[in-house]
Amino acid sequence: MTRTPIDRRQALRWLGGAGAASLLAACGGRAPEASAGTGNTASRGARVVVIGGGFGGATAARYLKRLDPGLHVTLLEPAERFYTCPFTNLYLGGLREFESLGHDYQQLRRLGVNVVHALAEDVDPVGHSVTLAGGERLPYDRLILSPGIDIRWDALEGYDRAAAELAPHAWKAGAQTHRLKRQLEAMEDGGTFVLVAPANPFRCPPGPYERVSQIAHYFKTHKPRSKILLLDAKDAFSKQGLFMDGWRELYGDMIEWVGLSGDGRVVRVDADRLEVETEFGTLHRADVLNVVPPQRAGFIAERAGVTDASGWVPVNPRDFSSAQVEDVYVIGDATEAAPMPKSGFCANAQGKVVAFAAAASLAGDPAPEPVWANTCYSVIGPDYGITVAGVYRVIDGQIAEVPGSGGVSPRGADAGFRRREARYAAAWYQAICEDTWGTVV
Amino acid sequence: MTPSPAPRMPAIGLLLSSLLIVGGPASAQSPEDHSTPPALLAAACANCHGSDGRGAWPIASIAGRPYTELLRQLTAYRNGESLDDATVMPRLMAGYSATEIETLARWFSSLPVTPETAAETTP
Repeated sequence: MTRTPIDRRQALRWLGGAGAASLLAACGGRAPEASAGTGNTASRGARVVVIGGGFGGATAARYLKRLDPGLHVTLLEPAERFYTCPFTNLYLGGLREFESLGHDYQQLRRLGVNVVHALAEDVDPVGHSVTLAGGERLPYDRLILSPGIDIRWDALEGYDRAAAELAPHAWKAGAQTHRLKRQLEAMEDGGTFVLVAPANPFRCPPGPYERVSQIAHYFKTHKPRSKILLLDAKDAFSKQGLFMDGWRELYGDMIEWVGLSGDGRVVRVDADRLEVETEFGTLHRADVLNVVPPQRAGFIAERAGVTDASGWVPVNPRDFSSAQVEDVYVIGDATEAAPMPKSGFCANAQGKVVAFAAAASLAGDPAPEPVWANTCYSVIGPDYGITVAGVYRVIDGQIAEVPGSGGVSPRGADAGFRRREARYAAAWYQAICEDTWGTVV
Repeated sequence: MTPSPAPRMPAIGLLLSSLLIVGGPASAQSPEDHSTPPALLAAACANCHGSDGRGAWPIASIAGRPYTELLRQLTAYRNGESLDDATVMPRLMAGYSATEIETLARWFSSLPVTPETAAETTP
């Protein structure tokens, strides 16, 4: 406790709005005192533009502003109210109201983030500016892209924008989600719901499997003679054993899963007939058809020149800066961050790491040593949750799961364990939304 | 009923500063230790426990809990024990060093229990 006076000086400096440097200093690393002043002056007034107001972008903007109130942070997001993909499956299952998944930007504004509801159309990485749909140009010192995913409309025969009106993907929350919900509600008892799942990588690896779980819950309570067929372009999926246990326990034989080697890969969609054809020519007819198609990074990533031939974004592991373009950071589903999954949780975790990295960079300091955590909750039934968790660090220059950490919920756990994970899922949603948008659900 | 996060920050900064110092000599780094800033380390907990450690039931609120209690619990999780109905915590804490767990326990024990307590420190 002899160091209290230094402690007090630190605190007073912070209370005076001294900036981010004291927060950037490592525990046991370089003395925070030494850098507090420089960090402040170097970054004061610097302009950070964030594109995308989802889990990644909103978190980055919020933490940048919390770290250093002197930064000029602009968040570009077309939607005035952002609806999360996480928990849309619970809406489809009837466990959640759609409006409870919407979040506005008032709390970010109160924090001093300049929230602009406009579409970013182009990026000039040399001139360091972003062009909005209206033609306005915004200059930046650092750019953070959190563009999410775009559907690859050319990747699956017969599945284009028009087809998605008949056979929704519902892989972005909004009109597509409502369309699928209406179709499920209109379907006769005894009908067949078919979900087409893509090969890796794609947004939300457990998503298709939680979705069929939730639709099975809806069928069980409203249309118990109905069937669910899941046609999959791969032979293994996230939390597979746990999902299959849950399906059997809660829904008997309602859900049939056909993997790649069982001829589950769909190669053609006929949306007019609600019919799909698999690799070996089997035709499957649906009453409601949900196609989760192949994806790539949101288009602005390509405009910024940060994507590679895969359509996704390679990043430097330590700070999620673009591997291709200077002064640009990329986070969330758009990135190649495996083994981290494309989850809202990871986007939020990456948003924080990037906030710290960008603030450090503006102060002329190296990015701090990152650590990321992830927990993907999936809700199979109202009292039945499962999880996969992971802690990630940079090991030998690559993002890697920390050996001995993480993993899935135990197989064969009792009903109490599953019930707790379902309750924790709801509390997690509330916490991560507060952490991202400052909103309370 | 969520107050703006802004007023809470001074309190966090204040506490953070103390963490940096208190962590001093005791935090001599072992080979498994990393040099992640405490604020960034703690931010990884916010996804479930809230930005300032105030979780929504039934996820625990950890802000302002006694240091020794947090240290004991987090260490138990790290050793694979499942306490207090936790399901994910042992899997997560297995990815953190003992020093990091001390830092996290100090961090969250230092945070105000309620937003009102934090708001009082606003300049």
